Amino acid sequence: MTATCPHCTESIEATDRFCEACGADLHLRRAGTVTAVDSATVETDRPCRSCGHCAPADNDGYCPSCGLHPRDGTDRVELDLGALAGVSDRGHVHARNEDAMALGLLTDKGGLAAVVCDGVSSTRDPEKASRAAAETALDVLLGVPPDAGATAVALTRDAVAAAAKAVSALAPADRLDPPSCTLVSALVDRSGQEITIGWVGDSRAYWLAGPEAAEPARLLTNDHSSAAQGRPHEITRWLGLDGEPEPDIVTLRPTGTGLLLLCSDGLWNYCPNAQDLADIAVPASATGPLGAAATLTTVALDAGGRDNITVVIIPVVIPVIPTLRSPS
Amino acid sequence: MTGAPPFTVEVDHNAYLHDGASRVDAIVTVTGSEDAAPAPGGLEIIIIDCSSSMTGEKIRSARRATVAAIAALRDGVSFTVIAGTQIAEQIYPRKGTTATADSDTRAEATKTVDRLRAYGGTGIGTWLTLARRTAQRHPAGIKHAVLLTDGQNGESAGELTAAIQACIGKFTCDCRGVGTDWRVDELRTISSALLGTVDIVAKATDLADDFRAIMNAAMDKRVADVALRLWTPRDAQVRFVKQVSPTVEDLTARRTETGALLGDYPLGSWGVESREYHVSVEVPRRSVGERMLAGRISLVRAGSDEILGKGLIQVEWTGDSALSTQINVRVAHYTGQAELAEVIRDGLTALEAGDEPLATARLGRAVTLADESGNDATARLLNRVVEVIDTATGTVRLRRNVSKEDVMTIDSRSTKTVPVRRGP
Repeated sequence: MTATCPHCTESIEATDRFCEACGADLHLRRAGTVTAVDSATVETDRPCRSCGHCAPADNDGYCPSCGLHPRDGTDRVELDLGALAGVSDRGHVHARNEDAMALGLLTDKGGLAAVVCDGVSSTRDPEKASRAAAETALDVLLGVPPDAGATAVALTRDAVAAAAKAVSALAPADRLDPPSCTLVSALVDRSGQEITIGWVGDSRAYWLAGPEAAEPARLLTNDHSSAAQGRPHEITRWLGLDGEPEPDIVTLRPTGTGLLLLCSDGLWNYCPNAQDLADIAVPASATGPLGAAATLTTVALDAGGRDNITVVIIPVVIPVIPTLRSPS
Repeated sequence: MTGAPPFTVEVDHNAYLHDGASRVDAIVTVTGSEDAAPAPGGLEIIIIDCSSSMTGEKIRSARRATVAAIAALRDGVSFTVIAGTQIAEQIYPRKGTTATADSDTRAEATKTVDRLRAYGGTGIGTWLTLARRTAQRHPAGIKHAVLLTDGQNGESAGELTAAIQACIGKFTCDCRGVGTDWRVDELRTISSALLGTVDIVAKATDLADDFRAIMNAAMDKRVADVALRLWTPRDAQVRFVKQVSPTVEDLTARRTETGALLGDYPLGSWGVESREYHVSVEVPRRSVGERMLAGRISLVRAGSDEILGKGLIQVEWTGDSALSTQINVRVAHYTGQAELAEVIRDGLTALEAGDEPLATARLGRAVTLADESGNDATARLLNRVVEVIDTATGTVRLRRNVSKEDVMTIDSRSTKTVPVRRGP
């Protein structure tokens, strides 16, 4: 039996890591905000979604009849890779979804990663920054090709550096308000026993578990913001021009089962407390990580949805090691 | 086409609409580039009132003004001089032709101006008709007339209106009234339709300077016949298109449909200058997050699809009231300036009709608006007609024995606007 590449349908060998024809990583399953954008991008000969006008969109990017700008497909993005899932929502107030996420898992050797980025609204085209940063960071975290010698901490540092470079490359340095964004990433090793979190800015990682859990719920990151000075929405580190893209990195070795949550401030502005988040997410995760991510997103939307909301859930199962009894 | 100057079109507006909002107001600034060379050729028509009331200092000043205007003509520009009475008579060059400006023709024309003699009636419609025939015979290019009168038109309103209508698009015309026996509304009707200016020259001796300035501005025009082309989305309504700087001029009714969603508004000829337009459009309501092109402004060569400049009025609906409630400073400023012109006109009309309470209220409001917007020239003019008791509330008293000259001056200049004041 011959398998085919899911990307280009060329035949592949079971032992191949990469497709010989298109170069796709055959063992990496990934999804991201950009996937939603790609599939929704309006082709020039497609009818306008609002009025059905069939003439090609004019040069200014608007429908030549009703004047509406095509949406880019990211108002609501739901990604589910089974082992992890994410929801990103425009919210009720912002015109665009300037958050982005990227999720991936390696099907051969295990190991998975996720990245959440929040575009800085005071810059131009912030969604370009968040999308480029999320995708670039995931590329490095899930190593193509994998850097055998690299530690998870070094990979995280490299991923943030590469993401920062990708954001800077989006606009010439002399342009007014070049795009910038925050970043939070998680790299989970194949056993699920070592989780490496890196972040720049005020996007957060939480550990969520029941109140009696061996590994208690808590916030894992520490915002780079002027919250202490009374300006919680003024970030002090970011990816982009004049930003300090230096990540803080922590490693978590959970002793019990729980959920890893990555989120933008669109969620934690409404629900900052780890135990409160856990009380909502843990029961909702019974249907899988997408259920938990969607439930948390709904909480933020119902509370007002003033910002873009992005929620990624990674369930972490620590196997109970049976106690060895000495033969009697 | 080579040598076509790029126009810059800048759009200033609050791009954020609140949920349920549908009205979009933008100030569009159109600037002609300095790089453009003056257009070759062109036609200048000088029309001088020779009715008997011009006798004395007025006709002598009119001759001096005509000489000044001829002296300001650039080499290569075609020109004629028309003496206007109840009929129109071309006094230079010979009937049915135009002269091309050079040192010889300028000297020759100067010698003929003493043929401008005050002896007849006033038939402005016939003057315009002769000017139109001359313009129509002339090849395409910048065609401009300056018209001087000192009295009311002797023709019926219908005759004048028909003559003006026939001239629209054939040439532009600046109008000047000398003395105080002419009617501001009559000249404004002409200058407005023919995309020119109107003003009073109360002292005949100031005419020469005024004509020189008019001719210099005319010689500085670079592009003939520009139109503003407005695209609006389907089901949108254009509330109005107004020029708001340097003067207020409502262009809404002058729209010519040029496509399914397109309309052209004539702007006349253009030099190294900026003009501003207030475009107000009602668009279909959309939900939060939608982005729409509420209008596209193109500068086109009139009667063609040649685009000389372009600007976009882009909007988006937002739930963030901090964004949607922002007042655009320039939209607010020019809305006030347009209201200022309107209340002055209303006030003067009431004054003429003897309705003093209404005149007092309108001119009082004008005092407040002129002060708020920093329109000092208008504030000074108003002060000659009313005594200001309190500027902020618009409390004024009508002055007694106001001169006709003052009333006509403020009437002629009521549409002049000032730019937005620089912030502190």
